[in-house]
Amino acid sequence: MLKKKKKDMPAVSTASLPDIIFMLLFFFMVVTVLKSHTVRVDFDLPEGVDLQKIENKSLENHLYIGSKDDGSISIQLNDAFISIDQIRDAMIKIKNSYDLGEKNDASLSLKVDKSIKMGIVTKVKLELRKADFRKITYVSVGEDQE
Amino acid sequence: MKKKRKTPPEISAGSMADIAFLLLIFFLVATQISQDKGIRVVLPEYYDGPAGKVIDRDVLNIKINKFDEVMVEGKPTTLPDLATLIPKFVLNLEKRSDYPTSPSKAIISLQNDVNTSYDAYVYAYSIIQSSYTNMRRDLSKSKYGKDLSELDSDQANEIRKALPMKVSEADPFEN
Repeated sequence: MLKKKKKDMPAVSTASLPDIIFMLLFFFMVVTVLKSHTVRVDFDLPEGVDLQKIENKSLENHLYIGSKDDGSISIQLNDAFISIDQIRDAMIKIKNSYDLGEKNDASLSLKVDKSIKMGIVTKVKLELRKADFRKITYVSVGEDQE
Repeated sequence: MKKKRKTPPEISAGSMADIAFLLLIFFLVATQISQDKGIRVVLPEYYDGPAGKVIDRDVLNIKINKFDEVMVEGKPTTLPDLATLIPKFVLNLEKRSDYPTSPSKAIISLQNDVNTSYDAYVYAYSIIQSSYTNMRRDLSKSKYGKDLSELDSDQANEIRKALPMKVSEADPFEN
């Protein structure tokens, strides 16, 4: 009698384990945001202290300044290479593509290589001001603001 | 014979978990939840006219040259030292005559060379911003006894008015 009971001890069913793991898997697949554009310039971010996180990703544009494969310094706005004189028109165009309420929240994150000289950055900033696209973030690495 | 039918050989689902785990780990590794962070800045409006006049004692001149060397009010210093110099200047607890009469009047002027590296500029800017955050935090503690993040919007505006972060960026010098 006793022996039989021991034999019938149900094993913990692992049949539902794959389902649980698949759920997790789907969660990660959905949450993962694939990069919308490929970055074709090389950059090493500068260091800062007390950094803030970027909140609204849908209104965020990206400007990269770094060196291309051939070593030349180039500027990439979202998905395309751009010259400094074109920035102003491009930014006005981006700003106009947003709804009225969102226009003022449109922002640009600058990912600039740390060895880039300020001369270029200053020119870019001047163009941004002329385009009235004034919310920017200097993307950097370092500790967050607590 | 009958016994065999009762327990037909089940397809083992045990390995399914392993396969799913492998996929999960692949996604975990391949995914980079890139939370960009940085220094948020609102650039001043474009203005093409004569510069406004400021009183000399209200301005803290920070200059960074092409070798990333820092000079504050004519004295060479280092970037990390800015973190102590800025609160000293803005709050002016020693009532010095060459420092501003009120923290709300203080202006930080950051000027760099065309050949200054972006690295030094960003670091300097982040130190200015973080010293203002610290000063605001202290003020909020002493005035309302609360942390900066717990203030309502009126109180937060009050703090911002008392300690406005005014950074003036002059055109870079060329040499």
